[in-house]
Amino acid sequence: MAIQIPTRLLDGAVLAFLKQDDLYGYALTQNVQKIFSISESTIYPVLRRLKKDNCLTTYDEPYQGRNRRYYHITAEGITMLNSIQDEWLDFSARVNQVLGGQNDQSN
Amino acid sequence: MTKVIDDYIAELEQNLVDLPAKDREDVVEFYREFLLDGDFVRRSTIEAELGTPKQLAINILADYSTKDDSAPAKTDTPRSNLKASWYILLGICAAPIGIPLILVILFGIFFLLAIFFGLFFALIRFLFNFFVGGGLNFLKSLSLLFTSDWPTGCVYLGKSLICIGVILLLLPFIVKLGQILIAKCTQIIRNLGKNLLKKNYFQTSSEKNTNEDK
Repeated sequence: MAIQIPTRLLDGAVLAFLKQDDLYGYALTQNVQKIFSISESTIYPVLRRLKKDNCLTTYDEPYQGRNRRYYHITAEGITMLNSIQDEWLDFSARVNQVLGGQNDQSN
Repeated sequence: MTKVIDDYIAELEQNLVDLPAKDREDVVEFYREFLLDGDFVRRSTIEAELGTPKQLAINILADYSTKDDSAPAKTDTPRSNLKASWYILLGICAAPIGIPLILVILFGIFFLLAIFFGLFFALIRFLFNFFVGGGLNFLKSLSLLFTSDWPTGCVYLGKSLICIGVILLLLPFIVKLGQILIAKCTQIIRNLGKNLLKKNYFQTSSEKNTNEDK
């Protein structure tokens, strides 16, 4: 895949996963990586930024004698997710008009 | 088994001493957890995922340095500004963008700095001249003051006092100007870093293969 992924979509993907369920760092990274081929060190800055913007909160839960930090989406995060989704639907519809099907070849 | 992880994390921590303690704790904890959850047992696999502790630290520091709203406790001193600029430059160099682009950027930054600091040092030189002039006038006045030519001596004494006065008046401005210069340069580099590094958060095809090896 030679198309670069804007941070906006990365934010969207992270928020979308967190909307389904609270996740810890590793699981979240795995989920995002199933979709985008991003490097492991990409997720932390995204989480940090989203947290600073109050789109998510964190809490710790004990796991095998240590803590796991879970990320939880906030109401603001959901608002943010919705607007990213809207932007994406609009944008992807436009791109599809040009690059979508083979049926429309007219220049 | 976790010895490998502990070592890696310890090294990472050492490379992050410039971060505020709270931020450092958070980021180190994140990666410790990440490595434990991922069941990493070999140093080589860790480095294949995250890079060496030093590389990872540079990425992290560059990320922190590009934010203009980092930890509120951390004030923007000229020193911290210079440090931030340095990390951003390192981060840009570490980012997977073409060498030609890096060269262009580095040259651009170099010229920018050269112009700013050229002006700045010209000003300092100007002041220094005043200082020397004041000193000379003072010496002249001393030699004349206790002779019959004492009125001329007084004139020179007055001149030297004027010089000192001008220096004292301008000095705070010069210092302030220097700080502003550094702050502005940092701002420019920050924006640059923001644009360049942000766009490189998302890797493409070459990265994909390594991820699928797991």
